[in-house]
Amino acid sequence: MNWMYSCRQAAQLLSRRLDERLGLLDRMRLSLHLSMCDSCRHVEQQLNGVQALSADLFSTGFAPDSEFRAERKD
Amino acid sequence: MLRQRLLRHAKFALHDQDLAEDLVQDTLVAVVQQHAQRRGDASLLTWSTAILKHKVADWYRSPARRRIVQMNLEDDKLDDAIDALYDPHDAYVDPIPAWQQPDNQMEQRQMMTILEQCVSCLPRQTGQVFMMREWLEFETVEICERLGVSTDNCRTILHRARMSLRDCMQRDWIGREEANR
Repeated sequence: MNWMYSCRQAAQLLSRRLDERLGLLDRMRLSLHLSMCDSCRHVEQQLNGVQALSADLFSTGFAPDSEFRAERKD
Repeated sequence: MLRQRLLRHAKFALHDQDLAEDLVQDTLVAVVQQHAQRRGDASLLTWSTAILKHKVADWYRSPARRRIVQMNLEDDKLDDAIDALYDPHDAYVDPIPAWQQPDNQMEQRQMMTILEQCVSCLPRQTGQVFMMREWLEFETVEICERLGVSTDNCRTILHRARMSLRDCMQRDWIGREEANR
């Protein structure tokens, strides 16, 4: 097994980290990857941002608009 | 109006019209009954949504839930979109740019509207799991248990949901900003 994480693996861990605490080895490998990869640092910020924004959206009354669009067409 | 909004919200989280109507009805009864205890600082919508949240979470935790058909993992379309981000070495084909933060309230609201559209476009089960996690605040273990899926499946669904929301926001929010310049 390659010691270095790929960007794809990093993204999977970035998501998992939002739900559970990662093990020490995963944390080390992830932070090593992030320290060398701009894209994954951006993905990190964006996944965190999407989570925070979603929490806001859901708590202030999320109204999925697929139906809304259909209603407005008539 | 309030009822309509709560109903859309509940239908997305439950994917069951009758059930959503029942829980919204219960919510509205509670809203009327507990009106006196309402704190002044939350809007009626926010407050009602919080009550609805408890009703939906309770339902997911109730034995009645068992009669509902189990999940089948059908949402494979997102995988292709995620696969397309990576080259054969699993690095990003195109570098992922940083996002400009919204710098005023109007932009913040626009960003929220775009996120709302992006969430609405998630495949059904993916959206449902995403809402159980980010709205109902269930732990992954509990989501797996309630829906009868493995922990790995649950992680995969959440990862797909988040990556496709990221992608959708990049296209519709960041992409739009650049088109305006």
